[in-house]
Amino acid sequence: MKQVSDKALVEQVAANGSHPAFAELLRRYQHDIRRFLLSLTHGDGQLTDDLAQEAFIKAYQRMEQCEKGEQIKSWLYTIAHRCFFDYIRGKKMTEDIVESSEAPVERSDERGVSTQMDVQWAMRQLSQAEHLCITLFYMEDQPIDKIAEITTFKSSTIKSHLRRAKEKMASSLSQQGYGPSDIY
Amino acid sequence: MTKKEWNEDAFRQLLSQHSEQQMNAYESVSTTDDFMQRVMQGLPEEKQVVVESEHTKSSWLRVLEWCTTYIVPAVILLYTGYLFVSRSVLSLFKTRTVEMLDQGIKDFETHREIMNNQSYWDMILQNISSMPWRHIGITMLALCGLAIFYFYERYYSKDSCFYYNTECSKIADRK
Repeated sequence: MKQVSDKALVEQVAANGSHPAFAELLRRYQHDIRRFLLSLTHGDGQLTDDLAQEAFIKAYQRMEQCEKGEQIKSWLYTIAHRCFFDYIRGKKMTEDIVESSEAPVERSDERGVSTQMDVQWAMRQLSQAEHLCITLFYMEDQPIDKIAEITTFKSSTIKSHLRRAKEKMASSLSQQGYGPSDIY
Repeated sequence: MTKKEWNEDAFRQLLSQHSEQQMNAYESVSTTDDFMQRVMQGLPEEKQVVVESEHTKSSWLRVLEWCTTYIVPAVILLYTGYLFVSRSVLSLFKTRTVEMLDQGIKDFETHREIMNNQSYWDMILQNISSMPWRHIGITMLALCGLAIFYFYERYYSKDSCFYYNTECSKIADRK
């Protein structure tokens, strides 16, 4: 069966709010958006579900604003990022994140359990902006120009965030005895 | 691992593996189906949009629609304009120029009398009052009837295809 293009689905949803068309878009992109939010929330599944639901409902309500239907994925990332940002701003979670990054010793029990936990811990050492850039660039495979659209950061800012984030993570992982061979 | 030893591909692989494994663990608790169901239940109702399906529209309704859209307004405008211009503005013009010449002294005297006793506005109102209002009224009533019939056929008749999108698709499927 011929697959309907994203653009056609977006147009259907924008025109008459078609639920079947939106369900198809949801089926195609829910995995990416949830994975993105799961990373931003440091693995908080409940919060990820709430934010992802909010993001998709906002996307449904504002589908006519999605000017380039074929680029809906980066548009969805933008909405998801805004939902997360609003949540952070609303709950003042920033302080909590800073506190957790300043207390690496508390994470020591988790370290060494698995690479997963170590990477998770290393990512917690990043600032929000660095975490966001590294998630989009390395985990979601988004190019710099798309990240600039999603985050409204300048390209040069994104590059410097990525560089600093890599340095921090390299440093964190090195402290735990990781070397290049451990990665392969 | 030092900064110099840092390998771009290795780093990407590490993070993408981490992301996917984290996602797999997450999806074992919150499945795709559960999440989709949750989102779909939270959506507002579909907008009810009037869909016009050309192929299910009967030909006479199409003609009627075309007439109502273009012909009738044009006729009304032209006829009303003609009546107004001919009965008021032109007659005023005639009164002052053409009829004076055509009708001769008698008429000239008459019109001069009118000119002396009546203002232009009085003359215009007099001419408007002498318009064939009965004809206009009958025409308007006929047009109203036509409009009512048209809107009935467009929105309420069983043969109409101007149903909400769901109804329209059902009709299309049956046909």
